[in-house]
Amino acid sequence: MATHAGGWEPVIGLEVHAQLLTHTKAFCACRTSFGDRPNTHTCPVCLGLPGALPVLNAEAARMAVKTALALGCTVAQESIFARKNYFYPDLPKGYQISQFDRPLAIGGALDLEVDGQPRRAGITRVHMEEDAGKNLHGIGGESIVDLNRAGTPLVEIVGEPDLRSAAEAAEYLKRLREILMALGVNDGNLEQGSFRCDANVSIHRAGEPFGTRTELKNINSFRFVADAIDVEVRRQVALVEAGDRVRRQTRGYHSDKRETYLLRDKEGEADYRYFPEPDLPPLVIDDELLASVRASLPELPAAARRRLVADRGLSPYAAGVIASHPRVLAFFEEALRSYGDAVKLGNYVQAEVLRDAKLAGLEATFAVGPAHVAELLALVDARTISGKQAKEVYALCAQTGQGPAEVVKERKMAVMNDEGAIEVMAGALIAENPKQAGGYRAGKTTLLGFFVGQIMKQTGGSADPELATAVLKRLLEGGDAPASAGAAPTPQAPVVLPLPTLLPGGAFVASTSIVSLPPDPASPRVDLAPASGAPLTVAPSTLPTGVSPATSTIPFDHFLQVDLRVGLIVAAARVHRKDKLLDLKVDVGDAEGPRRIVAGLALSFAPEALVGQRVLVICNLEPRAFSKDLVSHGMILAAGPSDALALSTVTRDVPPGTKVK
Amino acid sequence: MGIDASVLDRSVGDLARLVQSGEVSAVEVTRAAIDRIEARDPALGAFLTVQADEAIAAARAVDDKRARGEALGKLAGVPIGLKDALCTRDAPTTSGSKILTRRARPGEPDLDPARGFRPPYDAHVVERLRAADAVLPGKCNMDELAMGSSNENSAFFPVKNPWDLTRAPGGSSGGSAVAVAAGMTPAALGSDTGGSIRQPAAFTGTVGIKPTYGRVSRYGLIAFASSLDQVGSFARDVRGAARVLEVVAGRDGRDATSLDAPVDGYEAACGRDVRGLRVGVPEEYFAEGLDPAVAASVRSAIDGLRGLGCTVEPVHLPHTRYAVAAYYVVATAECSSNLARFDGVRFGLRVPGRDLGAMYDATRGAGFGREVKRRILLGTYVLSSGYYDAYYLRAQKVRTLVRRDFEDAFRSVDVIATPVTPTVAFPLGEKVDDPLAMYLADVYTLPASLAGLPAISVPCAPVSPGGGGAPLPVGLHLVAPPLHEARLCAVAHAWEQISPARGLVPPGLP
Repeated sequence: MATHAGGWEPVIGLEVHAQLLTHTKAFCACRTSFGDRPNTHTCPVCLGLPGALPVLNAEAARMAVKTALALGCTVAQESIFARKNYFYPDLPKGYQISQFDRPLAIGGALDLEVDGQPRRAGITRVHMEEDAGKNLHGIGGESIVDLNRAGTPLVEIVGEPDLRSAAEAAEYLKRLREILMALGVNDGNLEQGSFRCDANVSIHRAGEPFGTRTELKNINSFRFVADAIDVEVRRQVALVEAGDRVRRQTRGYHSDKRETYLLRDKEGEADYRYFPEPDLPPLVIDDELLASVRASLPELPAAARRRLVADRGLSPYAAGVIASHPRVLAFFEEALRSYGDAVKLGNYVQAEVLRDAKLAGLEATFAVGPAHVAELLALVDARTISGKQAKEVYALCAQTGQGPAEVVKERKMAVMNDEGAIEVMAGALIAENPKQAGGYRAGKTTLLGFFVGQIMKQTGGSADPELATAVLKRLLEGGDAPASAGAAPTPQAPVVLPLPTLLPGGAFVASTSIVSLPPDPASPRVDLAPASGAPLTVAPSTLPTGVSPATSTIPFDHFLQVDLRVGLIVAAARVHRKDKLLDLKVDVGDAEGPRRIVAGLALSFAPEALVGQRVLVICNLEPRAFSKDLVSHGMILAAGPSDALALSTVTRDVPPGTKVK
Repeated sequence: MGIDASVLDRSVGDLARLVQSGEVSAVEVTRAAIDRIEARDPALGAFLTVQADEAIAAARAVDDKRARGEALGKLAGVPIGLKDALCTRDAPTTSGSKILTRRARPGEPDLDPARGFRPPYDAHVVERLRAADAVLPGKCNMDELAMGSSNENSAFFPVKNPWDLTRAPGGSSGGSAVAVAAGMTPAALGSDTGGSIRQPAAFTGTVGIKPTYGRVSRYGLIAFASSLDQVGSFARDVRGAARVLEVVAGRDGRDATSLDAPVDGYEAACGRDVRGLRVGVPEEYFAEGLDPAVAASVRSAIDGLRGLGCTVEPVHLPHTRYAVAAYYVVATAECSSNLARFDGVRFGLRVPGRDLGAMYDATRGAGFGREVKRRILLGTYVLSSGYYDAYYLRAQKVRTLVRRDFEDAFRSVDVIATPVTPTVAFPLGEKVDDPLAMYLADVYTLPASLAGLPAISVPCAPVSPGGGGAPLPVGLHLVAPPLHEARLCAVAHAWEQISPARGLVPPGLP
């Protein structure tokens, strides 16, 4: 509610003309089209040639009924077409076929939300009419007429004067537009004029009757609607406050000057001489048609919004954005089929996908398709890439049309965010560069950059720089020994391995590990590193530079610390809302029976295909909790891209639990 | 070549049979028609334009079709005149108005129907005629935009009545009526809004049928008053008019008011026994204003029907007296809107002006005649806000009452018989300056138009006009319930066989 100086309150009612997305025109068989060569979609009927007669397009009537029903209107069993008579070159017959005193439908409502408060704005009527052509002025000093648009079916939706601010008017238009788009009856294109708005504006003081209204014509953007109404309200308030009166006028809006201007005085306005169109019988909408149109109504945006919030847990904002365009909603639903976290997906669609989506009316072009967006989010979830990298991957997907996994693989973008591995590297670096370490500790904190740089260098740029910084700081500031290592374990004792993800420079591999060993300055920490496509071998390109080749081998006893066994998968199931994970029961010879291992194998294998498979399992990894109830107790070795993994296995049936050596 | 032109005096059915059997060729018949038009029409003015070459070509196509052994249509080789309100593809179509002619270039005559608008399409009825292998030699003169009852409102030249060249042939389809009456074409199409087929049929001694509203598609008929306009046929006898109507009647998806009902055998109804049929005679139609001689002729025709075994009984149509007023409100309201498309923008006449408004004014000012302007003004007025309820809405209510009168009457009778016109053909010029008197010429035909009913004019005993002179044709008007054209044809045909007008043709034709 916007009350102006002097207690004046705006009173606004909107009239919207929306072109119906029929294949052909309202009263002839010409194609409806936009932007084609002038006068190429015309015939005797829409040219208004002598003797031509209109015949109603049933598709247009159906769409108009759909509109009326979606707005909660009562559809008249019998409505009447009427002629609105006036002369203009873009109006070939000298009258517009419209509806007047017996419109298609009356008495609906539109639910709005203004400042978080629900509001309901009345719909007076919905009726059908035909569009005019277009006059183009000043072409070679002449005015020319293009009648391609003439006869395009329109619905006119007349709202009650229920709106009390420009913001409410804008909200009304948005809601109405998204409903028409969800119905598929209109493309919502204000700029091209397929969705047009006139605003009736007056002012009054609360409790007093409405003042004289002016009509603002053809405002062709949401922004301008609110602006134009605001400006007009102010003009009226100023007039009345100055003791003048508002005159009944039709006014236009100059968006540059931010002012409304007189188009014509309504007080001496042309008389349209409406009378029933004798060339068209009454439009009869019988119960059967009404029922069939009602049954064809899609989910409306308000319902979709409620559903996304209630069933999918989306924020009202994200739900609102997604439900406001049928193609965006469809995108979301499609992505949701292969990515389970609706909230994350919703936020991503709302914030990222829509950033560079091209929405042109009902059409929507997305830079990256829904399946790829789902894949991308899964990569982030699996920590294969960071959120920051996701942006880059997204941009590359958009550029190349490749899928995210493919992009990550090809560009070796998988992030190295294994804290243990970084710690190993950091420890080694500090040990190898005592001068720099000493300098840092002596207060030359800028030297931190040197160490971070080294780690980035060693990992080919894939290390998570924030993580590297944190680890380095901790090691440099906390003394010689990495804090996480604690007391140096005895070499013989099995080491609990921190959770691995990916190797530097490696492809995304679902279940590989980097073995973290306690720091030992004499024996630099090394990776027991299954690399891309070659488990348990360190790919040469990933060798940390500045580290002697000798450090890329490990002592045999380190290998012995890895509890590697043959496992038999005895059960496998998908994990709800984690579309990459499988929940497995694997027999690795434990006395307690099969243990639970959660593995990222779902994109490559159907659960049922895994049951009975023998695989190699690292059995002494520290447990990883994917969620409170989803804890993994081991890792299955596999290689390949995430959606085409190969399992490591044994070539004949070795009993489960057999040690791999 | 060189067959006797009297072949044109054969009935429509006979002529089609002759062409179908190959006894005469369509080309021969067409040449005969063109020759007759050339010989007779200069004195009559029934044709605005003649498409001789196109007609011969069409006739040749019919003959070729026969030569290939294909069956020919019901109107094989029959020349049929077309009221110029019917659109003909690529052929001048003026609706009798200057507004539908291109502006004269220096050296060109100010008025020439040959400069008429050439529509890119054929009217539905024209398509039907072509499909039935008819030949269309020319476009018939008419009152401008179908507004008039004497044909003096033609923008180009008046049509003369072949029975007396000083008299009007009636209108607005006067050219079509005269084309048939003078034997130039065995049949013709006209259009009837308030009597525009029946009144000229009566004045020229021809048969004219206005079918039920919606029976014939209006697609391609240049509209005067959309809720009243209906295309119908003229011929020298009932059978001929019936056959032509049968060809053009029927559902057309391009006219939303076209009725989806089977077309009865109108020609087959000719000859059907009419014994026991109940004929209603509304006394309201035989009151003041009716020429006593015309009344006597019509009453004698009704007696003739009684003689054929029909029963005759009085009926009442109490709202008849309001019909003229209601008609002129409804028809002018619709015409004021229908004629808005003649704006100089897309077709026809454009007279330049300094701006758009001036161009409209100059074009419509120069393009429309006085009667058309009068009706546009009247129609604009009755639709004006503040007057709509008092005029248009009230007229529609009267229309409903008139229709109910007929519905009530048809509960007790099968057809209603009345005069077509209050007088015989009046002298040219007599009513030109008295529009009200002209409007009253349609007093007996308007009610059936308002009610959308089928009606026919069939000649009865000619009578001498008031001032003396040779007898002139009189029409018997028969009206039937909706879609009962076949019944009309049966009764009219039965009367025709015993009518004193039978076989009469205008005297002195070259």
